[in-house]
Amino acid sequence: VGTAVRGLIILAALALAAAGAIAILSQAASGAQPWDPELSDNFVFFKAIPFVLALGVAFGLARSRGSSGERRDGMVRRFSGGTIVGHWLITVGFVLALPTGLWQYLGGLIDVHLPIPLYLIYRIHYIGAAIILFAVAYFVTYWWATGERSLVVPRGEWRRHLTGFAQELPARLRRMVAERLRLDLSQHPEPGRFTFYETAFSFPTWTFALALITITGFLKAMRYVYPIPGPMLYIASTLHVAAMGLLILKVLDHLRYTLPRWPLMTAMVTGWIRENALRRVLASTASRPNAPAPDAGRERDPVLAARSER
Amino acid sequence: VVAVGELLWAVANVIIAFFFLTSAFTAKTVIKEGPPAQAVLLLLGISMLTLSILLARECLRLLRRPSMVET
Repeated sequence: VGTAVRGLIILAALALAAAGAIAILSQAASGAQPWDPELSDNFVFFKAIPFVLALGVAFGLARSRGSSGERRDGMVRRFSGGTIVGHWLITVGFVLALPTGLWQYLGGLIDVHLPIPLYLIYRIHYIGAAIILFAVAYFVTYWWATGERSLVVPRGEWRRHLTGFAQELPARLRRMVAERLRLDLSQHPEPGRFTFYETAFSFPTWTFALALITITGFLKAMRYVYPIPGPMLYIASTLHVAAMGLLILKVLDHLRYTLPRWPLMTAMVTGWIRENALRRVLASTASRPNAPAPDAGRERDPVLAARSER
Repeated sequence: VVAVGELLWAVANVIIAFFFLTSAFTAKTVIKEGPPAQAVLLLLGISMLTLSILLARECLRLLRRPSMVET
């Protein structure tokens, strides 16, 4: 997509979003409806969803430029600017939506009420959910438009990635997983720029949890606009809570995994990682007899041979 | 700073895990829904507790040895 077209897409999306926001908020503030703040917020959120998704798609398309260089001065590009922006945006969404969603559930469970009105908790939850929806639409479009598939296991490669993932697990768990999935642990596949833990386990489970919470949240949010059958709403609510639980675990696991691999943390800020540091991280994930030494030649190194994420 | 922030996150999750674990046996709505709902809450609480402890351990390790932070 050319620069001018990108600019036009962004401008059109922003204009439509602004017009939509004015219409939605003026309806909510008109006082013509007998809704309480909680129900009013629900309508505002649900009516805003198409605009939020469209805005995410527009920004995803607009940023769909490949990065110029793969490596420089001993550094490898691990994440593009677009991925970094999307990652931190969805993080902000989680920080807002996850604790507030958790409180809606847990508060009812332990029968404790905060001194602030419940609609404010819901309002923050909706703002967080809107940011997550924007980020999901942005990521899907951005990766589709750039052809970025670094974290996706290619067709026919699942066994190799699962074997690599099993090799990264503690011995007892490794044997259990290998037995269940009938993996050959004598194989020691070489990872690319991402560890097998990231490609075979972490990214697929993020995708599943995000898809589940998005779909079920959408159904829950639309229940006052469109009559959702009771059983379907019950299932959607149950699965929404289940997805919330899964996401809480995912956040903990993500932090647990990346913190001791510090170069991965800095790469999600700068986009770059030192070649030596990346080799060390990959070598530390499994006891691979054929792991490349830190000073191994570039031509023998799958990390450096791999294409950078755009 | 990052390690301290994540340590606080881990502690908050331990507290929440505690509520999940106790609610599996004491919350009226969960007891009414039956053993499957209780089991899910129990599993979630145990998983949260385990991962929180693992995260806290990594945070403390990093705080004790800041030299681990290198790019």
